[in-house]
This record gives sequence, structure tokens and C-alpha cells, in this order.
Amino acid sequence: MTGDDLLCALYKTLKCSYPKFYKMDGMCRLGFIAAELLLGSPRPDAEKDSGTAMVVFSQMGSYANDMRYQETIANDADFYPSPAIFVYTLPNIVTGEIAIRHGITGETSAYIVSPDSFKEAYELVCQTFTDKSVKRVLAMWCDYKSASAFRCVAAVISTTPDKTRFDIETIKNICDE
Amino acid sequence: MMYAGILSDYAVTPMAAGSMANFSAVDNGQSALRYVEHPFGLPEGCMASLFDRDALSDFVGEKGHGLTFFEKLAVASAWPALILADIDPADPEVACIVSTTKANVELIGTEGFTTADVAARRIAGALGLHRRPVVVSNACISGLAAQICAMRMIRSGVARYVVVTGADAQSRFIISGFQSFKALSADACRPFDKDRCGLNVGEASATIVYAATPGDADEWILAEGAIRNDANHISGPSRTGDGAYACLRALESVAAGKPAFINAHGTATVYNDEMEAVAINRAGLGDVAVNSLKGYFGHTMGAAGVLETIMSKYSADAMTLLPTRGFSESGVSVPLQVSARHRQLPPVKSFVKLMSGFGGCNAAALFRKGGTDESIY
Repeated sequence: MTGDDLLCALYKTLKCSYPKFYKMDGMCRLGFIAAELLLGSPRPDAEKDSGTAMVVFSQMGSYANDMRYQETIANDADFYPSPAIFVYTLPNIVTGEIAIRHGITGETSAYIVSPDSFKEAYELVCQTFTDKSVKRVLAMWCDYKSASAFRCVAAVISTTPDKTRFDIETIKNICDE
Repeated sequence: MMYAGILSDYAVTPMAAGSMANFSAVDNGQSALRYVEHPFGLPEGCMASLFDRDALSDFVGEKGHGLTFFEKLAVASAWPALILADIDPADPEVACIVSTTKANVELIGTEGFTTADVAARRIAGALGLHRRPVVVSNACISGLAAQICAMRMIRSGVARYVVVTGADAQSRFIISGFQSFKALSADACRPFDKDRCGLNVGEASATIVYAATPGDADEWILAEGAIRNDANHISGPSRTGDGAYACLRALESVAAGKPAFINAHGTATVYNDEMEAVAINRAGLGDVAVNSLKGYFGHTMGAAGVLETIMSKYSADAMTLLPTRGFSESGVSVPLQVSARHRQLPPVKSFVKLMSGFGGCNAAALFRKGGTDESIY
């Protein structure tokens, strides 16, 4: 079983019934499943959510899918660029997929940072709250290098006091687990 | 309260080096777009604005030693902007944000490839910056998203100075992808025109150095910015312009007084321009002058938001609205104040920059002269 098989198995277990999942590249599948686990499946009658922002960090960005697209254009003899693959060659598409699934119409941002950029990630998430409409932030480290090497850590950070304080140490602890 | 003020800026395009030189070229109606028969060896030709790579390397000189073309490109505007800013790059109060959509993708699968975080560190290293850079990669809105990020860093006191550099190198990868999408126009693009049929790709490097400032009356500040998602489609904008409209609505000072002009994304694809026109009208700004600069530079990807902000700032100072090159007759469903000619403006107090991109993201920002009018907050 590869990691991709695991994501597909989780998709089935969670009963998402969202066939677009199979069109997605690995990074989007990873982020999609993480959001599903964290936020639950959206209610069909749910209104758009303008109070939630999304901040996705990764190092590899869309690298795995970029490699897949590159294979389709590397040789003139074997040249078949596909828009269906090309559209996933951006590291922020995962934010779009999750926004569509959960009706999130707030801010969505994607950053490429090194894996130990805890301080930078902390600051960027905190700054997202300077937009007055932001009530909570879905923050993610969503890093997909290949079907057998990926990692996603996700959390919802909100302005309401909770038992876990959001600071650099907390991010480190969650990411090091 | 400290504002994010524009301390210095520098733009490098295939047309000219320097912000003013590029503004003058655009003001004189020049365009960097040329027809390229086999871009990067591709079977299909396209209109594009591409650098002579040797000339760019020469321009960067020793600062570019050991860097990839993309990294040199970033340094090409960042280094002059830092010199103009006259700040010490090693100062821990100087942060750096790199805006790029594809960074070193032309080297993918080769030994020279690096991820964008590594590329950004090499760029920062060449510039002598000590703080670890952050890469904003939010598709076509990256250049504006990066500036909004810089504004927040300054306002929250995380940094006193932020170097925002936008750059993207065109490649076989990017051009073949847009061709497969049928998004490219064979001719020079025609933003908002009835005959528009797609975009032109371009290369550029543009840097703005932001600094914390009390906001003097003669200083340009990034006063407000918003980013919103359409939650509609990953490769097409909302037909009703939901995200772009929400961005414009979020700019509180626009409600208090209309901007002198809106510099739109205006890629000249059928859907983008229509969407922007709808969003601008929904926001009650249908009577505000609108322009697009894609007919001069093409779509410069991660550089676009920074480059077009710089050009808009110079045009505001010159009290002139730059013509939308390629436009002749409106091809959007709602009234929009687009012009193929220069338009004289009264002294400009503010303008809006608007962008949208794949992944459903949209961004809008309000640039204003001076930060003294607190009443609107």
C-alpha cells in the first residue's frame, strides 16, 4: 500500500462522496483529507464561510505534480501537455480545492518555507488575523514530495480562548510529534 | 500607528531597467511583446515578453555568481532597490518576501533544481540579507499578496523594513501549460476588448522596499489590502466576481472616497476581464477609471503585482492614467471606464490594484498618499 492508497482509503472511510477527489493531484488529496478530518464533512445546506481564512505552508509545493507534468513535455516526440495536470502545478490549488469543498470564501494564502520555519509560520498565521473579517484560520503544513513521502499537519486557530495556546512552541511540538 | 510606506522601488523588464525608465517606455506606448516562433523549443509560437538571458546576467554581474536564471532575475531588481532604499541589508529589522509562482521550475528534473525556499535563501544571500526569507506562491495574485503580507509585518512590528521581490522566469513548462489551456493569444493581448482572446506571458523582476513610516502627506503607503477566495472553481474565476468583489468591499477607505483609478489584472482572457468588470461594478466603482498594463509587459506572473503597482505609482505621480494597450472597443457586459488613450487625472490621492488567479484567489489593495487621515479607519 502506497501513501496515495492510504489517502484513497481514508477518502472512502470518511464517506466524502466527492468524485472530484480522484481528479486531484497528491498535494490536494493530502490537504483535502486533512481538512475533512479536521473540519468534518460539510453539510449540504451550509452557507458560505467568510470568517475562515486558510494558510498553507509547504517546502515542496506542487513539485510531485510538476514532475508529472514535466514528463508530458520533456520530449518533442512524446509531447502531450495536459491542462488537467497543468492546473495542479501551483502550490495554492490545494487552498482552492478546500475552499470549494467547505465553502470558505475568506483569505487563502500559500507560502513556501523550509520545514523548520516555525517562527515565520507563527508570524504569518498571527498576521492573518489583522484582517478584521477573520474569525479562525485553518493552518496547514502540507508537504507532498511523492506518493510515498508526504506529510500534513493541520490545525484550526481561532480568537476564542482555548486550552491550547498558539505559539511557536506549540507549533514545534505538533510538528515534531 | 506606523504605516507601510514605499521607500524605494525598481523594475527590470525586457524593455528597460529602472522604474522610471519602464514607466517612460509605457508612457510612450512601447511594448515588450514580440512574437516568438518556437519559445523554448516548443512547437507552437506565441507573443511574449522575454529577456535576453545573457544581457540579464551581465546586468546582474557578480551578484549573480552561482545563481540560477530565476534567482538572478530576482536579484536584478532587488539589489538596485536596496541601494536606493539606502538601508543595511544585514539589519535584523529587514525582512524579505519573494513572490513567485514557479521559481526554478525550468530546472525541474535536473541537478540544478532547488525548491523555492532554497532559491529565496540564495537570493537573500546574494543581497546580504540576514533574515530568513518567505516565499509567497499564491498563483497570479502573489505579487499583491506579498505586499499585503509586508504591510502586515510592518504594522504588527515584526519588521521595520520589508523587501518585496516579484520574479518569474518563463519556460517550456509554463508556456506549454498555458498553451494546453488555450489561454494564450497569438497576437498582442487586448484587455477588456470585444476581440480579446487570451493572454501573453512575460518576464519581469520588480521590487518594492517597504518601511515603517508615520505616513507623511507626500509618501505612498499601502493603506489596506484584502485577499478572498471565490470557492467556485480552481481554474476559472467566479462569473459573478464574488472574490474580487469581496476584496473591493473589504477596502474600507474606498467607501469613504473613490480611488483615482483601478489598475486591474486585465489579462485579456475572456473570463478574467468579464469577471473583473462585474466585480468593479458590483462594488459601485463602475465610474472609476480602469486600466490594464498587460499589453506592455504581458502577464509577468509572480512579478505582475509588484511591477504593476510600481507603474501605477509613477502614473499617479504624473497625474496620468496609462492607456490600456490593445483595447479599442469594450467587450465586457457592464459599463467600464477603460481607455486606449492617456487620461489626465487631478492630483491622485489613492489608487486600487486588483488581481485574481488560479485556485480561486483574488486580492485588492489600496495605495494612498500619506497616512494621516485616521478618520476613515
